[in-house]
Amino acid sequence: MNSILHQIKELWNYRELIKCLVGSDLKVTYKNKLLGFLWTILDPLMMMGVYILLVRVIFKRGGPQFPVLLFCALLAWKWFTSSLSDSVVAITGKEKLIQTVYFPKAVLPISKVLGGLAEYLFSLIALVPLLFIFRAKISLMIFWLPALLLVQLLFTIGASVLCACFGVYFRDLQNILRYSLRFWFYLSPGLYSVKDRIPVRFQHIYMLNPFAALFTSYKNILVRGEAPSNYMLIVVLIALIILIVGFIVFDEKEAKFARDI
Amino acid sequence: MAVIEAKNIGIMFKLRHERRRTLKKSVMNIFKKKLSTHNFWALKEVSFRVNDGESLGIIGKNGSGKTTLLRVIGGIFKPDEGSINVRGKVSTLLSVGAGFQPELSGLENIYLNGTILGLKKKEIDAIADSIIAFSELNNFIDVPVKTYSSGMHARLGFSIAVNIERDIMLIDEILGVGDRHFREKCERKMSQFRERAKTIILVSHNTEAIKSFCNRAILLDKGIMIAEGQPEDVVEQYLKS
Repeated sequence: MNSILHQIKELWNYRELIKCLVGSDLKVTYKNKLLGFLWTILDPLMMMGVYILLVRVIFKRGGPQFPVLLFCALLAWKWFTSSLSDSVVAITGKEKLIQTVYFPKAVLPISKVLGGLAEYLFSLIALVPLLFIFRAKISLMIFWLPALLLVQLLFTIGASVLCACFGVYFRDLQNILRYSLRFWFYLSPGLYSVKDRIPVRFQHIYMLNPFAALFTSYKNILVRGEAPSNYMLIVVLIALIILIVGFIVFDEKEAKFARDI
Repeated sequence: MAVIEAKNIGIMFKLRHERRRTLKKSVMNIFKKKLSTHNFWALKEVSFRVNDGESLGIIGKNGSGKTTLLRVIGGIFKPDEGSINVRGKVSTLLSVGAGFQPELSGLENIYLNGTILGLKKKEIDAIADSIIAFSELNNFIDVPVKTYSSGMHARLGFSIAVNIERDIMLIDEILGVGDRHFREKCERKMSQFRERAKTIILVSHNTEAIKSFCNRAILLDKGIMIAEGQPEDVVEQYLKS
């Protein structure tokens, strides 16, 4: 526990570096693109288009609010997946730098997660009109959003720190991750809702997947005007465990990165 | 007062015969139980002290462990054996420009590199002008670094490094940077550091630079320190070997 506190203190001392890395990542991503920041919005919209084609047009499923419900899940999912896949190569991609300067290496995955959060917030611009178009029941429940984002942030930081660490030792993790994340998305209620598709007797197990509760809660507060899922309490616990495990593992390996890369 | 105290430092690398480790190979190796690594000591039982304000030269052939030793002093490698105690903030001039983001401009990279070296934005604001002036990049400072020539790249990196003053300056083969004019400027800057009683660790193949600049030198050979003393004597021994 002491080592974690020390790590957090050091990260806090390097907060300007995190800020600078997030800023320069965002600048680089959008610098040479014709549509610039619009891509942040277009990307989930296009994903939504693909799934509408698949679910609505081809399989004739999904209710009237399907697109906006899906969009809520897609935004959160995009943040999570981009954080993880960027983090896998966050350490190995900075090999030269790590062998040159001492700095707390955890800033690398963390800045990827925060960069993803910035993009998430930016793409909320696209969500607002969708909420009106699809007649979402807008209520005070919307104010749960920062709390949900915080839980997802903690979970994502923990998972990303782990990915960054394992990425150093297993170079094929990137490929494995790509397919596992895809499975994970279909196992989570992004394209469907829990009560429609998951038999009641399996729901307790099903909801142990953090994104089962997160997706349901995002949809509830943004579109349905309902409270977040009760299972969020378990997600908070899981997020904290992953976060702590992540930092412990990272701390164990960090001093060796410069040599093991 | 000793600012650097190294006692019997050893650094070991596990050399893998296959460069990249993958999950697939790891799983297969469980069954094979074949160890395809061997241990290589880049440094072994290296001990020395550096006092405040000294300039220490490190010489040795390629692969003798000079840069590894610099990395140990800079806190990048933790020794597998022995201990090292460093008092004060350490700069790094190891391969300058390593943190550059090619898509960003020179000025943006000054800020990025400065924060990596642990500076606050305000502190960089204060020195940005002198970095730009020192680099002589003029208008190029607003152009993406990827368009720089290798000389310009090195000039910017070195300018950032020398303008961030630290108690202990680590300098790795830097005298080979840029043209003669820029090199002379760098040498003047280094003399200034010495006059201001900074501690300097200089790694170089240039024996003349070691002799004229350092007041003490150590000679490394295959990771072992084989001589320590007056730069003239150590250089002589190096040239004989």
